[in-house]
Amino acid sequence: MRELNVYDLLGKKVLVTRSSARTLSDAFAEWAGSGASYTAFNLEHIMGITPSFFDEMLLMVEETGESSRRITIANPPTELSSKFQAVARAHGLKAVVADNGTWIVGRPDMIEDPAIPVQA
Amino acid sequence: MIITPRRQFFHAGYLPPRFDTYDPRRPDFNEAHVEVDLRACRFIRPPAVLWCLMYPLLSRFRNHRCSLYVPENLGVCLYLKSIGLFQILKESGVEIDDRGIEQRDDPQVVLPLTKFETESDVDDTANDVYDALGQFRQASHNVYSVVSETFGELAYNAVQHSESPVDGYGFIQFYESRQGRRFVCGVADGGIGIRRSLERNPALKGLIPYDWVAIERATGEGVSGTGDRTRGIGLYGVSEDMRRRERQLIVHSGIGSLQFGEQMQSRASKTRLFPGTAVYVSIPC
Repeated sequence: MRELNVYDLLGKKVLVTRSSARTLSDAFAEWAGSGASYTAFNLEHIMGITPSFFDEMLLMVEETGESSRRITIANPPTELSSKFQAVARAHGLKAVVADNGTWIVGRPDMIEDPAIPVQA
Repeated sequence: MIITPRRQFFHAGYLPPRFDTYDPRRPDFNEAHVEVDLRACRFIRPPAVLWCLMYPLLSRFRNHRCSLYVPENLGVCLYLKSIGLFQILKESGVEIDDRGIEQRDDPQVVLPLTKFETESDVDDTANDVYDALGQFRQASHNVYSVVSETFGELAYNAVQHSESPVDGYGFIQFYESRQGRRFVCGVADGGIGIRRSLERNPALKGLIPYDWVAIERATGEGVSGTGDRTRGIGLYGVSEDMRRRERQLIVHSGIGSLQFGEQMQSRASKTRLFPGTAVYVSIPC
């Protein structure tokens, strides 16, 4: 499975601003057009992420019409705390943590559907 | 005008109340000579450094003559010099006589007072912070992540919302006391303050009568000056992160402040003037 490796694309260990998130947009648009069944970000080598950056990632997904699909975020640098869950809520989404630590973000009905495997 | 903080200067809330009306951001602020007298200070906590920076910077921005009298206590003076306060103020034209005070590399200073003006500055500084923390070897990587994320979010808030004529500044230092080891992080701007920023949102117009009410609301989920449905998470997120055991948060904006103490109580109140917004966090490691 192909993933968007954010560190390879940005070269930053700490993801802070919306403008830096936007520099992922070309790579993301290419990804979105590739027919993948869900959106996968990989945060390997990333050591920190702010809610602002996370929000901008979700906005990019929304803008490409991909928000009906699940979003997986592998190797998150931090726990899925209330601030990240609040960001997901603001998009009408729900965020949970899979057994392997990956964050799964999607519509609440999709996240709670047992037919959809949580494992990324 | 001479401002003389207390001998033990913890933060701007410890200033004499008579200076509340002397706001260097206001067009009618018209003091021929602003003098900040720290000579008798025996102890200056990191949040107080943010006031010592912003008040003189704003005074100079309005072209007033400004002097800062350095503490006679050598240890306090060395600390203020090592964190970069004197250098920044002198570069902006504040008169400081620090002759004989040597510049020393203080191993406790992770990031000296650093200016950020653009989003790019914030990204670069937050990444520099992470690298600097890594060289420190005093805590787990989880703590480094919390510190660098918190610093980044606060600095980003200042750049995005403050409209500060003197930009934003932040610092991080390691602090060791009988209570334990911790990282402390401060970010300040000389901008419009949280209340005026939130009032940009028409839905909040008339609902925020005081600075301390504004701070309380800004630390709630989804409250922002833009009104965009996904905004208003930055300060909320920082406050959520600081509601954990032994962490501490102080938000000071205008004449309002909000503090989460060591015992996790939250207290918003009227206090002395900070001309802009300052946020201070303390994270045990």
